[in-house]
Amino acid sequence: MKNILLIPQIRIHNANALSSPYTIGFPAMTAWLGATHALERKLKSSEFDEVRFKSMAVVCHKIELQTHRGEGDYVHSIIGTGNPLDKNGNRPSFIEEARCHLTVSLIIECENLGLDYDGLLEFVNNALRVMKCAGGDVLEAQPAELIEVDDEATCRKLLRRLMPGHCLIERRDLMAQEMEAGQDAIDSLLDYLKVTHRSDIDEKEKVTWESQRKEKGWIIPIATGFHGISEPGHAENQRDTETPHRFAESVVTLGEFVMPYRINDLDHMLWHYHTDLENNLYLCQQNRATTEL
Amino acid sequence: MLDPEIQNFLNDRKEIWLKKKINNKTSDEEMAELERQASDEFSLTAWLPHAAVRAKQLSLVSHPGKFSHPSAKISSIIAKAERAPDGFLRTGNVSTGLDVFGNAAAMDVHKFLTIVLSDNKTVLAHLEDKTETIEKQLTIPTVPFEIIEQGLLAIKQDDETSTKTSEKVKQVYFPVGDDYHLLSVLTPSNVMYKLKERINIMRFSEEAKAVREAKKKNHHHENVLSEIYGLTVIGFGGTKPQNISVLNSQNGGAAYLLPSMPPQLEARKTQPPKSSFFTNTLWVKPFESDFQAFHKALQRLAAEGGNNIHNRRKRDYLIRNIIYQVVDRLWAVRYIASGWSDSERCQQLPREQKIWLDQQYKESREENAEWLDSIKNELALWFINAYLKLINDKEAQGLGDEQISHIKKMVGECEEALI
Amino acid sequence: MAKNNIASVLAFEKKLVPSDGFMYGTTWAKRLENEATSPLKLQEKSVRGTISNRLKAAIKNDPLKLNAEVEKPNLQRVDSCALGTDQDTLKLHFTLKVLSGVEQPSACNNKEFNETYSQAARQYIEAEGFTELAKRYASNIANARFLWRNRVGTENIEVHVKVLNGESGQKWTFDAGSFSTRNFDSTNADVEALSKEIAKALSGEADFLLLEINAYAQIGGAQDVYPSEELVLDKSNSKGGKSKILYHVNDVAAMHSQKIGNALRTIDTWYPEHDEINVGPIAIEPYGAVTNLGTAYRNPKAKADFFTLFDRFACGETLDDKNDEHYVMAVLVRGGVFGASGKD
Repeated sequence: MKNILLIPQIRIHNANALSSPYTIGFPAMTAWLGATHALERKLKSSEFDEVRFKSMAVVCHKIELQTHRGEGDYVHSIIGTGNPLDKNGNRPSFIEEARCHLTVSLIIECENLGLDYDGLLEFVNNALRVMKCAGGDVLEAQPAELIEVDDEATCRKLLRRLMPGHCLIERRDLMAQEMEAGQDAIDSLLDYLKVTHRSDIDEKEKVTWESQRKEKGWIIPIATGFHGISEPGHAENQRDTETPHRFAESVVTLGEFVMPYRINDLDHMLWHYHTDLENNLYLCQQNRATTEL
Repeated sequence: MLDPEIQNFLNDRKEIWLKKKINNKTSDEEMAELERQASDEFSLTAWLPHAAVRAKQLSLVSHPGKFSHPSAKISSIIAKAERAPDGFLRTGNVSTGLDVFGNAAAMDVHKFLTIVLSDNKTVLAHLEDKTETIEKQLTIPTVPFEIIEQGLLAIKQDDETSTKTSEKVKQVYFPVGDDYHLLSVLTPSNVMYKLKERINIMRFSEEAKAVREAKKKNHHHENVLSEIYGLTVIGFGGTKPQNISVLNSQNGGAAYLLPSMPPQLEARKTQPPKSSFFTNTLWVKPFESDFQAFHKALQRLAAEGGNNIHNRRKRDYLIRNIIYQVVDRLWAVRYIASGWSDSERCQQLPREQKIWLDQQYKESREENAEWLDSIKNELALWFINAYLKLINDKEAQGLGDEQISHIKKMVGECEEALI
Repeated sequence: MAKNNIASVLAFEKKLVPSDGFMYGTTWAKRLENEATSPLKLQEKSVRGTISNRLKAAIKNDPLKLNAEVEKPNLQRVDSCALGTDQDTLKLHFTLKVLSGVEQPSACNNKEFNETYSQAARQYIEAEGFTELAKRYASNIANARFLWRNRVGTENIEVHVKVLNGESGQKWTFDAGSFSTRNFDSTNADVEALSKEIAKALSGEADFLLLEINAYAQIGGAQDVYPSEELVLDKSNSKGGKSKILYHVNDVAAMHSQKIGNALRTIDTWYPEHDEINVGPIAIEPYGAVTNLGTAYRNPKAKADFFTLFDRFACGETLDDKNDEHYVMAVLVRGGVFGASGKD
């Protein structure tokens, strides 16, 4: 059985759409787990300090990316925000920050809920209102709910609540498979993102062009964590002096957006933190990995 | 003898220098004087000691801080990471060179260090490996080789004694057990621009252009064309990309971002069905490969006996997969502005389908599920007909009663997705 | 306390969080009826501009060239937005969230500094309760400054404000024309009541405040309205692109939340030159920068900039002028990254 805290239809304004140095769009998985973690910390310093969040899933209902493509342009450009002037009244050079407005539902697997469900829900509703989420402002959200998922029927019911929308799952299996076969990471990634057009010519010299992607399904690159690139230690100007500091970079792998009804086990959509310090990896990964049948 | 590549480098320097000095008012005499001066200055013996001193004005890095913010000043990082088939785009899983930043006036030193000698190895690599070749090449009468060597290698050393991050760099807490690590997240410019290079080959190579042209004219071409759609361009450094890094400058300060967006179901791209969702909206052609796979699974099941659990699972997975694709189409229709089925054009659409498809019936759909039985029947029927239409295998023509009732059962199991 | 004890990393989240402003068209008579209200859409226009920029001398002095230049069809594609022919009133809708916690930076890497700062901030809250700032923010809601250009040349403007959170259900209606945008001297009871709620949220007496704001501006039949302009960092190098792109969300013309936020915090009348020049209140910014004037009214040379004042304030010094404290706190309400390592 799973205890699920469902926060439906959170509207977020100006969230960070630059999920990694290689990707733009839906905010990084680290941002969603980060928001959930921040909420858990708020609970910890309240009367609901026993509540623990084990894993979470995110479903995107609507997203508007703040980019622009003019007629006939091949590429999109970022729509910026005006930065304040510097002390001499000059406009500083632009740092291009990609933003999006979006509506998501969060599905959080909890433990130790205690008995005061109403109090807990009220606390969550209020806490969420004053939080930042994926770098954006929370404009509004529907009231949170606690749902017990103990069989197929309750699971299906929950999933239907999440429609229409798309839930993000990891497809690292696809990329790893290519890399096992000897391709480097960029080629492995691009192989699943590119559309291949090939032509055929029949006896009557009729030409047909067909277009195809390597894998069915909505496969996209996603940022799922960080890769430490220096040893843990101390650095000047770190945000606090007590926590071990490291330089790091985003890691990107393949993911897939699926409509929730395709999920037959909640663990296929739930994510949790996982550190693999031996390989310097700080990851968000799924409770159960998706692999092809 | 001096490696020809080094000689070419020095000659180029000399040319550039002369071009700056000479204008149409320069007399022949002055010209000769300048020539002599240049030949002196850009001889290895004269140029090298100076270069060895200037090398420390530059830093080779894998993750330049200025990509985070033009005024971020951080330690120079040269990340080292093993390659592993872990499914991640990260440093170590792509082979790239390093980026460099520092005093623009010293960039010629960087150019020198990246010269590829006749043995296909760069000057820098030679220096790092302390080869005899490089010692021979760079030994000059005036300064001991060790001094030159040390000076040039300073490009890889951080002269700061302490590690430094910046407020301008995004610093992220990541839970590690009951504690945290604080991560300063940087941009691997070398990987980022390698990605751009690969995409540009797809976009702009002569081969790609030829195939694209053929496709445009609907001509046949032997080769395939690969395209990445939906790219966004991001800029670093505005009108002064050279302030960020050398790689950034070489790339005109612009990198590509791959789209990472959920599918956008746009109402205007879906036509409302006139008489039936199953005949107007669900074309069978896109399902061809799915039904083929399903057909193969059935054959295997027949050959190996129906008790093989793996084969049965595979079959059920494939059936479900087709049903879910139908549901995808269903949602495309549901995205059309609610009330569409009231239009006269949809007069012939059965009442059950209107309830099923038009979001104006969202509530009544859930309250009263009478309509659902008819939809389930029609869906099962569509499934069976699509199979017959797409699979022309005479031997296997038709589905046995057992399979037909199984398909109906599977549709029933998926009914939550249909509501 | 010495200056070098300023935290090198220091950041504050904004405490006034407006949404985007959505634009609708309606009529003044039926402005409160939802059925009479429709979302405003952007339209694309091709306009034939005339040459009005200063010409190069070479062209100016050559009549033939000049003729050719002036006759060039200066065709431009632009977005525009206007009320419908049967509409005379613009409705702008947005929400505003007011949060507490100014005394707590969102990031600070110096414990000692954090303590002295928090203490100074708490003292300010205790003494002032944010009443001065709240009054000014409330005035900028009442006077509809956030309509920007849409405020000009209107017959009537009415602002409806409603508390969305909690049980109180308080509501106010303001006749924007009766409030000045030049000063904050008004003593209107409703503005007082609204500012009391804002002050409570800012000082932490209430968890937060969520307001719904609807402004109705009677600007005349089928008149143009002005959504925010988009800042496209164009990399496509293509010609024939649009020269003006306006902001919309889901096909509804809109004003950026930043633009609304900027109007709400246009409360700085405490900068050195205020009494001499006729600029009026400027937006709260660390250097008092005003974008459209290209000037920073709080230059560090005059020691009136945020960093100079904040460094003293945060280290427990009493500032000479209460107004300097108001200004410092207003910048913290605005939020930003203010660490010693990130200055400039």
